[in-house]
Amino acid sequence: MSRKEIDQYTVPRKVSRVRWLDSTSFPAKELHFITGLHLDGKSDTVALWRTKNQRQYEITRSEDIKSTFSPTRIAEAPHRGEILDMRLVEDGQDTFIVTASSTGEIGLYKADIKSDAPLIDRLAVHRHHGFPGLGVAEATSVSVRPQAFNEIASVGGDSKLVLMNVENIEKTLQRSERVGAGMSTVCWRSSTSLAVATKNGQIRLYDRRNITKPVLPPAKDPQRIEPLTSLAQHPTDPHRLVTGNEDGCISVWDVRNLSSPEVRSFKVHTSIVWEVLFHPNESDKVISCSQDGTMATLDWRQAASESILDASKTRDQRVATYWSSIRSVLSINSIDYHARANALLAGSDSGGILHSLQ
Amino acid sequence: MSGIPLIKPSTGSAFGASTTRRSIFSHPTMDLQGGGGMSNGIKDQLLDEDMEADPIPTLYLDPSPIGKGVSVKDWTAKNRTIRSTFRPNTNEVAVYVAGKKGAEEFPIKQTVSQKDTAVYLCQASIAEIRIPFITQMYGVFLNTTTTDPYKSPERYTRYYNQYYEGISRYLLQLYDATKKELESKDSTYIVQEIELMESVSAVWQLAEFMFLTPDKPIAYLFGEWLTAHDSAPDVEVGETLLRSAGKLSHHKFWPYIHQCLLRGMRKSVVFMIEQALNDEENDETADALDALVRILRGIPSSETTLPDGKSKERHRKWQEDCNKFTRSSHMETLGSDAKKALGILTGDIEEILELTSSWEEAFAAILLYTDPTCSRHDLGPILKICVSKYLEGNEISLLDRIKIAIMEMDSIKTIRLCGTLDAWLVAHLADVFNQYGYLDMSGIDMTDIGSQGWDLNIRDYFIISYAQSLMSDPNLWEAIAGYLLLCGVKGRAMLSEWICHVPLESSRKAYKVLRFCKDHDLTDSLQSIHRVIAVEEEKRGQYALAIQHFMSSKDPQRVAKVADNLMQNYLQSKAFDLLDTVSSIPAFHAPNDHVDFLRAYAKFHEEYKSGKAAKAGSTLISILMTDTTPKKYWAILLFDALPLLEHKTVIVFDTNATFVLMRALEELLGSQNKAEYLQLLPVPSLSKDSSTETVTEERESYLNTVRLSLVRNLARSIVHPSKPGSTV
Repeated sequence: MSRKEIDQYTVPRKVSRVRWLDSTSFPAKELHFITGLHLDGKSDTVALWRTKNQRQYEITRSEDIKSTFSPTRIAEAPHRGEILDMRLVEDGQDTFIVTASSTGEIGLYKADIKSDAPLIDRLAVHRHHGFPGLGVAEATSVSVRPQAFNEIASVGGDSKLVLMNVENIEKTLQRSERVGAGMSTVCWRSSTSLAVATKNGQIRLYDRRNITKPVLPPAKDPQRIEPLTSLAQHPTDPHRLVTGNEDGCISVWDVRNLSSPEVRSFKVHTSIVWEVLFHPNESDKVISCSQDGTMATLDWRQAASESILDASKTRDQRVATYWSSIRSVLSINSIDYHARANALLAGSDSGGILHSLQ
Repeated sequence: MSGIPLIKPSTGSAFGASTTRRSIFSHPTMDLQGGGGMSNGIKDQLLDEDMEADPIPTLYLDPSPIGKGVSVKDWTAKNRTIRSTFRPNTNEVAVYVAGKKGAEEFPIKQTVSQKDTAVYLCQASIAEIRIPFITQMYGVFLNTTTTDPYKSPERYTRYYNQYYEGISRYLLQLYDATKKELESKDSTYIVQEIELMESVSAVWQLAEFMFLTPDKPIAYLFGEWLTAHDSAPDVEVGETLLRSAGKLSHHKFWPYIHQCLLRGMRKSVVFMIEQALNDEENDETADALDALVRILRGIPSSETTLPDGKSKERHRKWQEDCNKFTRSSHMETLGSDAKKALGILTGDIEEILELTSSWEEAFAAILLYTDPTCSRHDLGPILKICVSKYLEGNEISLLDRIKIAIMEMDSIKTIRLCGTLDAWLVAHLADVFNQYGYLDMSGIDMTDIGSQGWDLNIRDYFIISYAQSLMSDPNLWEAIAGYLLLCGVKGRAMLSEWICHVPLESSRKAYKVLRFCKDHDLTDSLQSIHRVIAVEEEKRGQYALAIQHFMSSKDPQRVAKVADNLMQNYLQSKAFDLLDTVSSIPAFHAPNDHVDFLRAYAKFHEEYKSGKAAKAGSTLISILMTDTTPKKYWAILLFDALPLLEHKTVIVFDTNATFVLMRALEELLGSQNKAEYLQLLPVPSLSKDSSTETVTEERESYLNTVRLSLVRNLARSIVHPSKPGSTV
């Protein structure tokens, strides 16, 4: 299998989540990103980083081109528990960071990147997931309502979907019934509808107005029952979702007919897919990262047209392009793509922040 | 190791894993002096007061083996003390309570408490700065150890080079950290770590040049190694000389030339002499310098050594030219310092030993000027000369002993000594040596090394030891597991046990650990971890998930128990969707009667709820007629049949179905296990103190209602003998 080598910057912690900040006006010489850093037994942190926009340097042929990725950590804030998910809300003026923690808490932070002394402020933290009288349940995933950016949805180890207000995250707006299968990840499909992936391979759709029960019986791929470990919404098609599975498969769903959804599955990775997203500029492509230490770009539409559909037991090299670092064989936990800088960013258990221009 | 309390290092503890030169555990055993330095059982200081002046961290046993309110004096008076044993290769210590004297020597009869039997384990923590190095080198190890250096030499070299690059990168990181950490408590550690890693770097590259690079003459490689790890001469001196007007008369000129010659730096020395020649106004001196430059251009180097088999002859001729120069008038013109330089060039051992400052430098110079194409196996005589001159009569450091062992190409001795220097170094060097066939133990006298606990596979022994040295840090679980996995049966057996104790702080980590076990066929461990997760899920009331994990752990009894709990929970609260919950249990798992019943029962409820009475009745009968349906659920089914039996418009159960229900009812009520079979039925009207008989009677009265209904339905079905579901 051909793999492309990717730049790596190393930190002495596991990188649990990475997210590009997109608010920088373009063309920009610098880019910013946020990471969740984790080390068992030590306090976790949310860190703000600055890096050169290497493509911009390539274009302008500046003398100060740096061939290697060497970001600078410019601000950091402690975080209670491991960051299991992280989303950013950028309203033009401010950047807000929403985190899901292994303590069951949802955290809201504000990143100030414009001042001379950038900083990350913790605004509010509240526990939304737990077992009454039996302890905490981790919050495994968060998603921010698109367009309005006023509501946060989270799911957790208590197998419940929770809705809360960004302005007042202490207050639970709605809470779903417990799902026996266990919920793993959530995303907003539109400003009125939510999708939840479960640990038994199902997709459940919820109406924001009443999330007690899903709107319809869950959608499932009749061929697959492995836990869904990641989920993302197509940027323009509200019926199209992509999931990453526990066995390394990536499935593209069309959920128009929920009782019999159209599902295309591709064996892209050899182990758990930790994060998956549609390419923001080429939505026929899906970007993913995995426990197997690789990142991949899958042209799912082409693969489907060539009938490379079977999620066979071995990884099908024809359908995807892979990236990895020779120095990082451990799990890649998170991935993000900067739409305007065309730059890939990932974080690994080897302490690597991985970066590649596309 | 669960259940064994750990020693908690006190805050500010600065010792690192295997890198600590002066281990806190330098004594094989420690014996408490009664009362010295101990507080009243709150913090029981292990180390005596004499050690306080030493920058050695204090450790406390937690929980204390001495009870609260008991003074150390009283405790020791009862023939108790603390002893420990140290495991050097993993920097691990086990501490335990022991008797000061033998029990037979002690007059009072001893009573043993639980605290007396505790064993405390402590392992030095791994510094945060080293963790990326460990994880990245694990990646390199995975690639190299699975590649055959003889079958895929290019690929192997690409992977293998990552080791030295990784060491160099880590050293750069450490140098950078010294600038930032000058004022912090970590600075001492970083200085020690730099010293250690510089040694590791030197050993690694020397071993590579001696053992793994046989095509290139060692004389040049050794010179390269020496320059990389002991940079001399001083660059600033060279720059000063270049700026000076009278170079030849500068007091540092000839010492600089000597240094360059000893290091075989042909280009530097030629350049400097040429500069001196350009400045020279005296024709005689200029002629002498010109002749010297011509000689110097012939200094042996990798560029002048061609693979034509004539290198020895060329070197002999060049040495003749050097000797002629020594006898020429130029020598008198240039003076005694030039004579020393020619002494080096002609391979005058005494002159070289006079001018060098270390055995390595002497070795490099003698080798280069006497026999630059010397084979690696013929280095002994030169090595002996240098070692005798510099090390004889002195205590030879560990690092020097390792270097000498490498120069002697004694792979086993090299590995043995590296084992004392650093656990990472020895494990990875042993792996590489093993791949190249340097660790063949046949013909080796094991009596000497057997005492170290090695078995026949040295590679596995040191890799396992290295993996063990990492076990104090749960962040490194994947690297530890990966190393153990590649260490044969012994490593795998250890892995199988150890991985069951990896803390599972999050579902993500649980996934990772389970996946690792699944991918590598660690079936027993996989089942054990599933069991642990299942118990946790059951405690939280996540019954469906608990059932899945118990199924994966191949524990049908626990599956049955959780299924019962789920059923009871549903019957009591009806707060969740049973069909949804049960359908989330994957059907691919091994069939289980209780789960199959739950599925069928959930289907029955769903049909009943959606008004499909006939279908629901048919499902209920099929459940009752299934041999595998546990009898304790029959009572529930009969109770659930009640509304169907009393259906106003439809005869749900025909005669045969009614007989099935009646037979089931009689079998329950006539059974000796009646109390057990009826236990799932609700008893709302009785108090908690009611006797078993009273509870059973109350439950039986419910079923009497069912009996009446059955009789009525039997009559209706006889009068209207149509198919089930037909309208009355």
